[in-house]
Amino acid sequence: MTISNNISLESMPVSSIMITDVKTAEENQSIHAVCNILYKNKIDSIVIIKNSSEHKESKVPVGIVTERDIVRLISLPNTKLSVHDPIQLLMRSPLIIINPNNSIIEAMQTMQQKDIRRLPVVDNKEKLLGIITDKDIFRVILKNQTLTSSGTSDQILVDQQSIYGKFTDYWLRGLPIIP
Amino acid sequence: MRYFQAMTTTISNIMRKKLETIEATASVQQAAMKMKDRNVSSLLIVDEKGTPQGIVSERDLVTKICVSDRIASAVTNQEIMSSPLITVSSTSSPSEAADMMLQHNVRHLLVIERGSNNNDNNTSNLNKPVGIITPLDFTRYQEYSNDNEKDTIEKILEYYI
Repeated sequence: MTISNNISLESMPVSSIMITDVKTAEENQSIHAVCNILYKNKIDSIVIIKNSSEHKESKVPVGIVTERDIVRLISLPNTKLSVHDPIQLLMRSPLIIINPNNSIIEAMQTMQQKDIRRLPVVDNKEKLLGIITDKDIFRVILKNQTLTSSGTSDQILVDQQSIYGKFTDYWLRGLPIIP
Repeated sequence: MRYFQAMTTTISNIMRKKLETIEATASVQQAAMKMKDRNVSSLLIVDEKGTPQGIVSERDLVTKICVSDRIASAVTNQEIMSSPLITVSSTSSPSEAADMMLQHNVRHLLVIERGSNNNDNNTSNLNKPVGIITPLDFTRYQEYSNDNEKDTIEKILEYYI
């Protein structure tokens, strides 16, 4: 993606770089079934939506499950939770979301404040439109280095650099190492 | 010679030094507990002498335990680890490491510190694992020494990120 120099992370909306092909699972599907979806699609997280029998028109996101949540399940020595239980018992909820019109900087700030890496993009009617991850943002920054130095005043410039720096550290800290 | 090495960025400058290990005979459940406690996404698997054998990642737990519905306390790390490990010397350049990743089609390399050869009595000092390097660590490496190196590293970042 090439972006002209007068566009900044502050002006670019989340919708411009979000991934719209989001894999979802319904809240009453089993943990085992969800693991299968992660495995078959080679993805590390999945958005959990309300059961389609109750919400036929659109996908209403209610939670998220990542590989780390599976590690959490496996690490519990005496848990009564089994892989045949519904995913809603393991998912992270309530969901922290972002609006498609929010800027990329706002998405970065939310990720940093909440210490998360993925934000489902949801409209005002609770409909799931896409997902934005730290990787998507980083990819854009990496390919368009001018984005981080396009502030209109010194103050903004300094703030952006500081967010970018922290974000880089944060992002590099514990990335999954997958063969 | 040493002077010139010190002038150049090596893998040891940009690698992640947080290297958590667990024994190959320990259970996968113990590995999951360690990952959670230490807040890491992978563990280096070692034998009883501390020699690296392989790596177990979060994804291995999803695909080899949860999907197959195996009991984590009854499976050893040896059974699910990814091996063999591809290693790189801590004195290598970032572009050498990048080349190696492309050649072997892997996203991680174990960084090894070569011990001195005259210390024959203590072989455990040879080839000591000191860190892990992944494509993302190259983003810390800002100053490319030449255009050729820049091309290799950009190619690998493009491929993996």
